Amino acid sequence: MKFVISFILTALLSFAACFYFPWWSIAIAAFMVALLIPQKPVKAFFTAFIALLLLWGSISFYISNNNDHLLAHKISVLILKFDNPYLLILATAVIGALVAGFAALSGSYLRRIKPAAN
Amino acid sequence: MQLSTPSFNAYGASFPGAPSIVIGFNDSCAFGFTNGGRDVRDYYEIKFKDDTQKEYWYNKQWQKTTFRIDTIFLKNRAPFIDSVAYTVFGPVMYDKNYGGDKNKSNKSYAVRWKAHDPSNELTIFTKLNRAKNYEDYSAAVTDLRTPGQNCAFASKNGDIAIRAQGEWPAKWKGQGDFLMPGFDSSYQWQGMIPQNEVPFQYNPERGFVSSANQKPTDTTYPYYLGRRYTPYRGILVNRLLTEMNNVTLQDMMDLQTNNYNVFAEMALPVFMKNIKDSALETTEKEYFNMLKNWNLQNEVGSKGATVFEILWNDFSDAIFKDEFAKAPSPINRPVESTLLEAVLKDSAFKFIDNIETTRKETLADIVTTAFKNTVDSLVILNKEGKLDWEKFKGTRVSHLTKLDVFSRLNLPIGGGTLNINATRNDHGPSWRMIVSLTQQTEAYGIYPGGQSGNPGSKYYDMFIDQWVAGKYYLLWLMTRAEENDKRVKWRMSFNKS
Repeated sequence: MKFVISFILTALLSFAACFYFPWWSIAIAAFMVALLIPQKPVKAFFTAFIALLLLWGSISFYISNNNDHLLAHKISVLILKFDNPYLLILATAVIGALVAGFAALSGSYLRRIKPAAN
Repeated sequence: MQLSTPSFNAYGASFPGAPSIVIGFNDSCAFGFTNGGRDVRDYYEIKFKDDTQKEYWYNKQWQKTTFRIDTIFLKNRAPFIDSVAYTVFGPVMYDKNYGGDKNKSNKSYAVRWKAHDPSNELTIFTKLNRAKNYEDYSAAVTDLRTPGQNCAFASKNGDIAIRAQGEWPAKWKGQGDFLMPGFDSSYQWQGMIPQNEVPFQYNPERGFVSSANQKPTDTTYPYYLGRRYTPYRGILVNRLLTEMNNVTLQDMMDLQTNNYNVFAEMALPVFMKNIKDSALETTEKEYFNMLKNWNLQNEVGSKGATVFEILWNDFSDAIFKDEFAKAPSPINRPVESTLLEAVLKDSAFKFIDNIETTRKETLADIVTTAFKNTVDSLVILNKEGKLDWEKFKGTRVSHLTKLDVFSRLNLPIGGGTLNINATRNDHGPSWRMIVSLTQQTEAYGIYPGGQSGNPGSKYYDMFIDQWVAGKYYLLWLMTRAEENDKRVKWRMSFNKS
């Protein structure tokens, strides 16, 4: 249950934050969710990881698909030296997933040391 | 772009930021421009009294300079003050500070440039957009001082005209070809060519006006032009227009995309006459036949065009490289028309002999050696699959960043520097337009780009393939009655705030 709530909350918060703040606001969103809802560090990491993998993966696929991946084709050649828009979308999703995952990991560890500090 | 106001209605190509149509047409007439090459910038050596540059020697006495001070603000540092001394000729563009440590010269040079004179070129286009007849056109284009342009004009009442327009310095032969002494007034510009002596044609007997950057006058013109002009595109344009009757829009489209090489028509016989085909090996014979059987078209798939292009360059190298290697640099080689005319006129042209050898080479020796070098390059090209003219040329339309993924590379298009379809590797005739000044104006146009600057948009490069294929779009000169046409997608309203 905690997993599902954390997952949905991380995805929703990240989605909303990116309307108003820079892309890295997803890190703050994942961090805060992990702080709020206690989970084991590894579990917290994967919750945020999967949340952003799916969120950024589907958003970038949606945007890119809207013009037949025209720009993604070109950028994938530019960055990956390889013409594959889906690989570029995957790379985007993994970057978001890693950032959110590590932010959640930090949040989870911080929650653990909090009682000790008190 | 179209500009429509209650007083005029104009359509055509423009520059970003220009408030007018630059090349285009309105309800009464059409207008176009080509660059009119002319030497309007000269350099004079200045002798300063001392390093302060406050005084310089002119007409047997020390004259005072004036200074223009430029303050360049720097982040977190004191502003940099740059001062430029002005003489009677103009600003001192080069002095010993110019170029830093690389500059070993102690000399100073002032520049006299026509573009420093005040003028208001924007009025040309605001007036042309409203022009109704030849008088309006003349009044508009004579505002043009610099950069000089060949201004072509046609109106619905049947008038045609062209002016090689600009305010040109009246020079003696050779004035300004090299650096000139600025110690007195003797080398100074004496005045400008009067506007009624600027070359122009108004309803000429031959029934057309044309410009492809060629020389605007013949030798009877009393003023010195001071520029090199390429004659070949102009020769072919004039030849074809002379032959054409009952011209259709399609005829004009074919003319603009013509790939015939009139330069090769004149130069190829020199090669054919002088290549010693008995001295050729099997591979060389193969390429020789490609050249011999070439139809003189720089078209897609043509191998002869590639052979000719490389051979001409190797030939030019073989003629000039030996002498020019010993000349002080930088020095320009003569243009292709100069070399071609020289060898056509005189088979003992003095540059023919290779001065590095003891024997006296003939034209046939040089051409044959050049051809053998050419074949070496061609064999390599053939291995790379780049023997076809368009593959060798590799025409590209580049994004501003020069990134390949945002550019269109290796476009399958013919033409070349000396063709009417002057499509080179990275240059070409971008705005092609044909206007039929019939009762209801019918105009066609195309450019190698798209309606969006965003490389992620399908509109980014959507006209390129049409342009490459030599196709045109019908231009929609929208009228007030069509305001609610379903092709109108968006509206933007401006309010006084």
